Amino acid sequence: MHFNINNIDYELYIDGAMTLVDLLRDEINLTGVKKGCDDGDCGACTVLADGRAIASCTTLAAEAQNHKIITIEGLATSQGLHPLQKAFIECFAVQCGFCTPGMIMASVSLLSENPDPTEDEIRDYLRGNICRCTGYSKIINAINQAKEEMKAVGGEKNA
Amino acid sequence: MENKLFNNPEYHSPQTLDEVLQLLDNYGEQAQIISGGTDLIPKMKARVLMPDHIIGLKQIENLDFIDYDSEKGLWLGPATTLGKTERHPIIQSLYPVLYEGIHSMASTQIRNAGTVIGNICNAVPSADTAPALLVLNAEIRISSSASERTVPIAEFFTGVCRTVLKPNEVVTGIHIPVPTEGAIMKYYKCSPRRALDLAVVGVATFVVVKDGICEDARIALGAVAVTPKRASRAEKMITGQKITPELITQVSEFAATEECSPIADMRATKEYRQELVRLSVRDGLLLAL
Repeated sequence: MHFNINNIDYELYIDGAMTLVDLLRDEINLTGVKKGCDDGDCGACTVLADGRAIASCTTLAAEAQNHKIITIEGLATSQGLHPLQKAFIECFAVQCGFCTPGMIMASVSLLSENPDPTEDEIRDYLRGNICRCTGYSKIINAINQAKEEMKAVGGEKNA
Repeated sequence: MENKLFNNPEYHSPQTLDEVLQLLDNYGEQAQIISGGTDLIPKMKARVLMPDHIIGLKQIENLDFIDYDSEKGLWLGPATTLGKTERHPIIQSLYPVLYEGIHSMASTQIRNAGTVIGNICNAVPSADTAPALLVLNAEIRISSSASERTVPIAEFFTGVCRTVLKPNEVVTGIHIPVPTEGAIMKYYKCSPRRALDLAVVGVATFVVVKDGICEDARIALGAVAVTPKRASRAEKMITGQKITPELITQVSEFAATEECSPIADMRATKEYRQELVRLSVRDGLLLAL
């Protein structure tokens, strides 16, 4: 089967019943994609498919063909970290870090759809991403910082 | 790589709807359609469903349509995601009760993959698209290789996770008529959490009031009976009558006690669910006062 992941093409022979999270972690070694609940209920496995956040644990790998899949490993460019990655670090929005890749990918999707969300909109959009450590407030700070930087640069950062 | 969780089903990716129907003829009982997979995959992992064959719809072109016509109304396709539907301006402006039903579901990620039609085919009593579709008088188009039929949504659900679908049939569209102009519609989802939770009680209301008279009242209840359902007898109490707070109180009490049979479980007692029904029906009707 043919996949495009983090802008690289892959031809892989896999089981029809394999989920996308297993493909990413086990076949391509993208272990930044985390398995939290493996049930669609925590958001730790969030990746982007054609720019939209999905739960890779409840997606069949086979159905991810013909879609651009971006994981946390695909966010940084040769120019450096994505503003969201930078903001999460600078605002101390990372503690154990397990929810972080999924949280950031969901935030990328949020800011591409809504470049200037209110706090309520952020919380509603990210309600599928659960964090046990931070209490979410620093995550909100990080998204606010990133959105200001991205607005100043004039729009969507390449994801 | 061996994947033990799945009973190793065979995955099919047909290129046309005809191929889907042929596969259903061949494998019927042992096959499951997958469109988003957000209900199917967790069920397969939990071994609640263990199909031998999975038939994918997403790679078929043009099954994710949202077609609106100001006379004919709205058509949604079997691969149309919840996310695409809720983002659509026509849904937000003309069918806000459906928007509210969809937006109350799960999470952004699940809604970006799951489909409206998948939600009704999964047919849990608490399905959040169902009360909205019931008050909007949606019709479900069902196809097999031999025939095509249309079933009103009120007849579509037959039991817990059961629908009128035969093993070789697939839903190929939902049609929603243009809503009456001036209709006041609302969906209330009562659940312990704001995310990733199913409705303990779901209530949709659709009311048309003209010169103080309620010309049309539609009330749909989710999660309080074996299927989502219309509260037809409660509706009859108010349709054609002058709309008053007293009548609304009567109707909502009737709906809570006579139009539903909620269960008691770890989420809520039967009495608490009835109270939530009463309050939600009341509040939905009060919007039209």
